[in-house]
Amino acid sequence: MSTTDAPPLIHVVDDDEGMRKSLCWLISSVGLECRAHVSADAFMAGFNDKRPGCLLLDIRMPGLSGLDLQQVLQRLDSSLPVIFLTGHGDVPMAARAFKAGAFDFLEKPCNDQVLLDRVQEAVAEHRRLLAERDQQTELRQRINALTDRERQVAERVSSGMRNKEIAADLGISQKTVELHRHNVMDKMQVDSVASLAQIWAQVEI
Amino acid sequence: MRAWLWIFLALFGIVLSGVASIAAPTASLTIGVLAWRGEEKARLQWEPTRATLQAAFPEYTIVLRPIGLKGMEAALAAQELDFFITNPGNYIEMEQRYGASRLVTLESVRVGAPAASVGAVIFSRSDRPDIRKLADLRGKTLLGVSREAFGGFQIGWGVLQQAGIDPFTDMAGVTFAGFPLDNIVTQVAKGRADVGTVRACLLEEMAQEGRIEMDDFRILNPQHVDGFDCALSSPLYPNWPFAKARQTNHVLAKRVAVALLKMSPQSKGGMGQSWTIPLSYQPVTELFKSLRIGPYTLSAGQVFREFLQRNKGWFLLALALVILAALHVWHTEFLVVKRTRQLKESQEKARLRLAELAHVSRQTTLGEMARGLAHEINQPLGSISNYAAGSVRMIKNGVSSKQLEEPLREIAHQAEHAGRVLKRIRGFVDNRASPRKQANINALLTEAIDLLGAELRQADITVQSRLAQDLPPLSVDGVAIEQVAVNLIRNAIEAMAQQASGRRILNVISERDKTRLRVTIRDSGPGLDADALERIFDPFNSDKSSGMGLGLSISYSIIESHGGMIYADNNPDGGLSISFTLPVDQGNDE
Repeated sequence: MSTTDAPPLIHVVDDDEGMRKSLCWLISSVGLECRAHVSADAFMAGFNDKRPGCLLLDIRMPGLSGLDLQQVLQRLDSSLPVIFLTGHGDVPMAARAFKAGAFDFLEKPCNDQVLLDRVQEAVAEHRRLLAERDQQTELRQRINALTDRERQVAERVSSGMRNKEIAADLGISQKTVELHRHNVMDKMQVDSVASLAQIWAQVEI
Repeated sequence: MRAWLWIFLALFGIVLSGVASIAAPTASLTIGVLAWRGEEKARLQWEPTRATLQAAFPEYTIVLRPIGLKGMEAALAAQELDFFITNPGNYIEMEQRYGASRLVTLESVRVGAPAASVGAVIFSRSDRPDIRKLADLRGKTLLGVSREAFGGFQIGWGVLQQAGIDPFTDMAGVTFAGFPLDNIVTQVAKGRADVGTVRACLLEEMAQEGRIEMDDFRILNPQHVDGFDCALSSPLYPNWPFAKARQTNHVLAKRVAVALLKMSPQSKGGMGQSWTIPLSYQPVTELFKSLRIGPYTLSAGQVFREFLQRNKGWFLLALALVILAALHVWHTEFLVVKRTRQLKESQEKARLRLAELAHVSRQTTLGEMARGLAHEINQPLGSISNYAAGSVRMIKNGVSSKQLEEPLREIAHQAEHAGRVLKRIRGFVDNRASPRKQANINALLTEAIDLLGAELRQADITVQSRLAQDLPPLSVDGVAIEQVAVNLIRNAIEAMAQQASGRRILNVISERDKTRLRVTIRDSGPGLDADALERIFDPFNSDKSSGMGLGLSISYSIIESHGGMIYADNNPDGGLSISFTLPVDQGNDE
C-alpha cells in the first residue's frame, strides 16, 4: 500500500498563468511531473497526499490565499511540503508561513537551480515523511495484533523488566511469561529486546 | 468757311464802329441811382442833383438811371455808369469790388438841421415795462424795412450785434415791413411787433407831422452825439455818397464834385438837397464786417474758419476731449489686450501648475502602486526566466528543437506583456502637460483598470465594467483623465479592504448624459458618513494610512479644468459611487 517509491508529482498553484505554466515547464525540464492549478480550490479538488511531491504556492491569490491553503493542509494532517513563492519579500508573511511549517519561502523570480534543488529536497523530505508514516502504520498494525496479555508483557519487556519480575507483577507463572514473550517477538518481527524497545518507543501508544 | 467767318467779323466790326460814332456826339453822363423806393421816386428824389449837374455841364446830357442793388453791381461791372448814388452799404461794396470812389456825401435836412450822418433808433412802445434795455429784446419780435436797408435795418442790427444779440437767432422773429418806413412805426404802435428799428429822425419827422406822439415810444440804447438832435440808438454813419465809377475821368469827376458842393439846401432848385465833403466810410466797412454782409458775406469755408476762430476755446477743449477720448479708448484697448494676455498667461500658468501637481501626484500614486506594479512586471520576468532555464536544461538533455518552440513563444509573449506594463507606467507618469487630444473615454478607463490589475487581483476585487459603446470621442488631456480614473479606482480598492472576500465588487460605468459623458466608479465598501462625504474632495483629507490624500482633490481640479463636474454619493444598496462628467465636443475640436 505504500506509494513512497512512486514518481513524484509537483503541484504549482498560481493565479498568474504565465508564472504557473513556466514553473511547470522548468520543473518538467528535469524530468519531474508537474501539475499546475489556477487556484487553491482547484488544487484541493484533486488533492491526494499519498504521492511524493511538493507544493509550489503563490502566497497572494484571489480567493483562498497561499497561507489559507497551508492552514487547510495542516488541518488535513498533510505532510506535503509547501514551498511559498512570493513576488515581493514580505517578512511578516514569511514568518507566518515558516511558523506554520513551510518548507521554504522563495522570492520570484528566483534562480532556477535554487528552485529545483529545493523542489528535489522537498520531494525527498516528503518521501521520508511518507516512508515514516508507512512504517508507523505497519508497526501499529503489529501492535494491534498482540493480545492484551502479550501487550502487557511486551510493555514490561521494553522497559527492561526480567521474566521473574514480570511474572510477579502480572501474577502469572514465569513459564507463561516466557511463552508470551516468544509470541511477542514473533508477532513484532524482532529478534532482540533492544529492537522491541526501540519500536515501542517510536510508536507512542 | 474760314473766309466767311472773317467777312462776318469784319462786317460786325463796321457795324460796331458805326454805332460808336453815332453815340459820340450826344456825350451823355449816366448817373446810376439806387431805386430803393421804386424808379419814379428815385427819379424825383435825385432830380435836384441831376438838374444841378445838367446846369453845370451843358455839353453833356445828364441821365439818371434808377437801378436796384443787383442792377447797380451789374451796371458797374459792365462800365455802363459814369457816376452813381447809393446807400453807404452798397457803396463800400462797389468800392471794394469795382474800384468806385466817393466824391461827396449827402447832407440831409431833417427836422430843420442838415446832417451828413445817418443813425438808427430802436424803439418799443413806452408802455412795455418788460422792454427797457437791449438785453430785454431776447425772445421779442423785431420789425425792420428789409435786410438790405442800411438805416432801416442794418444799423440797428449792428447795435444788437454789439450787445450780443443776434436778431435772427436770439429773438422771437424778424419781420421786414418794406417801404414806407412809417409802417414800422405804426405797426409797433399798434403792438403788432415788440420793437422796431428805423433810421434816426423818422420818429421826430412823424411827430412834427402830428402823426405820432414821441412819448408813446421808448428809445432803446439811447445815444447822444453833439450836433445830432434826433433820438438815436446807434453810432452815426456817413450818409449816401455820390461816387464815380473806376473808369470815369478824374478831371471830370473833380468838376462834378465842385458842382455838387456848390449845391445848398437853400439854393434854387436844390429842394433841400445838398452835398458835403466826403466822409469816411470806414465805420460802414466795420459795421458790414461785424454783420458779415455785403462784401464781407462769408463763404461756407470762411464761416467755418470764423466759427473756429470765435469758438477757439471750445474747439480746443473739444479737440482735447476727442484726444483724451481717443487716448482713453487706446488705453482701454491696451489694457484689454494686456489683461487678456495676463489672464491667458495666468490661466496657462494655472493649467501648468495643475499639470505639474497632477504629475507629482501621479508619481506619488505610482509610488504607492509600486508593489502591485512590481508584481505585474515580476510575473512575466519570472516566467521568462523559468522558460529560459527550463529550455537550457532540456537542450542539455538533448531534446529536439521542436520541443523548445512552445517555451520560446511563451518567452516572447511574456516579454511583450512586461513591455506593455512598462509602457503603461511610463505613459501614466511621463507626460507633464499633455495637449488635449481626441480620446476615447472607454480606452482610458480600460487602461486605468489594467494599470491597477495587480492591485485589483491582490485585493481580490471583481471588476464589472459597463462601458457604453456609442460614446463620442472627447478632446481631453488623456493622461489626466486616466489619472482621475486610477485615483477613483484606488479609492474604491481601499474602501473595500475591510469587506469580506468575495463581496468586493468594483463597477466601472461610462454612459452618455445629454451633452455630457458620465463615468461612475462604484464600490461595495461601507460608504461614507455625511461629514466625510462633504470633505471628500478637500486636499489632505485622508484617513488612509498611505498617500497624501491629494488624489481626489487633484481629480476634482482636473475634471473642473475640463469643464466637467465630479461628485460622490452613497449607493442605496451600500458602498460609495464617485461620478465625473465631461462635456462632449459640439462638433468642433478646440
